[in-house]
Amino acid sequence: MDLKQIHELIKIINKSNIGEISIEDKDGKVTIKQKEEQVINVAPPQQVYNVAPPVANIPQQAPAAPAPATPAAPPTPKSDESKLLTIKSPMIGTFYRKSAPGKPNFVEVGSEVEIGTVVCIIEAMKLFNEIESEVKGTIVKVLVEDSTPVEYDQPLFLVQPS
Amino acid sequence: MSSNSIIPTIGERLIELSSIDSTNNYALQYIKNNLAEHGTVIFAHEQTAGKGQRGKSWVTAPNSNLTLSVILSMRFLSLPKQFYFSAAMALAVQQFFNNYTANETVIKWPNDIYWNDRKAGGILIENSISEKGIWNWAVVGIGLNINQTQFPDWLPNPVSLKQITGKTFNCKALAIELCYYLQTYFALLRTGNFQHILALYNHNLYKNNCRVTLKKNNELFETNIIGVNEEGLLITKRDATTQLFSFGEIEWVIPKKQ
Repeated sequence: MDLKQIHELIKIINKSNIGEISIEDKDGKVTIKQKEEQVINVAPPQQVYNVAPPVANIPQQAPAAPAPATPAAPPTPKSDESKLLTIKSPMIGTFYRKSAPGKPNFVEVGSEVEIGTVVCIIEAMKLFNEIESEVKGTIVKVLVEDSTPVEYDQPLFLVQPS
Repeated sequence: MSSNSIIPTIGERLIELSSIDSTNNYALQYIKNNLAEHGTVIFAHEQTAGKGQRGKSWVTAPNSNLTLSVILSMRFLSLPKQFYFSAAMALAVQQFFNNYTANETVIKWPNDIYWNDRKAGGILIENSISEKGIWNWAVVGIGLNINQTQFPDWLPNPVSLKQITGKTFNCKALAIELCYYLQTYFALLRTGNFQHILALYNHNLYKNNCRVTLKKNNELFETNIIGVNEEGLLITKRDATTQLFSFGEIEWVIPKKQ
């Protein structure tokens, strides 16, 4: 483990509620402790959600390709449909906009996304896939409802490139 | 173990935490901060807000259970083969646990660990995927009931290794042993022998070739489990009709313990 990694680790720990951490690898052992007062901000035990199985009875009609007549979302009046980028689903599964029920959506209309920003989760056979954007820009439209099935290559978001 | 091999061995780098909200979240944060290395294992003595699927919580008291997450580099595998990965990881955990339970441990589809009709643990896999479909990283979170003997009432049918064997275990020692199994089955996956993995999975599948009660759209029905296919769909047969189910489509009705 080098100094840069230790430095990064301290940053993570500072942001977390970890009291103490020890890392051991073949080169040796590092222990980092947080001061007591920084640790008290422990999150309450997570609420238990009785999640209904993600069954969608309504057959999901593939969202129509962005209708050319529909102007994009209000925050970007200058947006020109032809210049918009589409984030598509890399797989078949169930589309989720948040990491868990009760959590905020990963992105909203108006959110800035970078390359690598997680925009949604697609679940397939209990594997939860965080999908990262490969474009940079502003979300102008969310094309799919939360907790509904998506197909391979189905458009999920429209992005105004920046 | 093989410190000079190109691919690090699972558990060669072990991050030990006294207490953490969720080892999976911690591992995912590692990936986001570009600190991820293949094979890194996050082991926690206590998990205060462990994650089950979609927000179901999984809380453990100190040293009562085995909770770890492993970070794996997955670029070698294409997305349509995800189920083989899930199956390989489930096999690793089941085989490890079975070592202590006289062949009574099985995999409940898709990846819960069952001892007889009781749940001993589960696996939560969270992946980091690029929009173009490149599978960069997998985080495999494993939770096994080890020394716990009291469980909350809302858990339908839990069991721990201590309840099965009467013995108390050292969770960290078990974690290190589990890493060996994970390494073995991950290596098997890397050989590309997918049919072998699926055959092993089906061989160790809970209630395979048995009659079971399933629930779909609030309706109960009886059917026979025939196995799981390469996409991870549950294959069932009722009279002469074969039916496939995806995870989340059905609920499995398991008789509650007395």
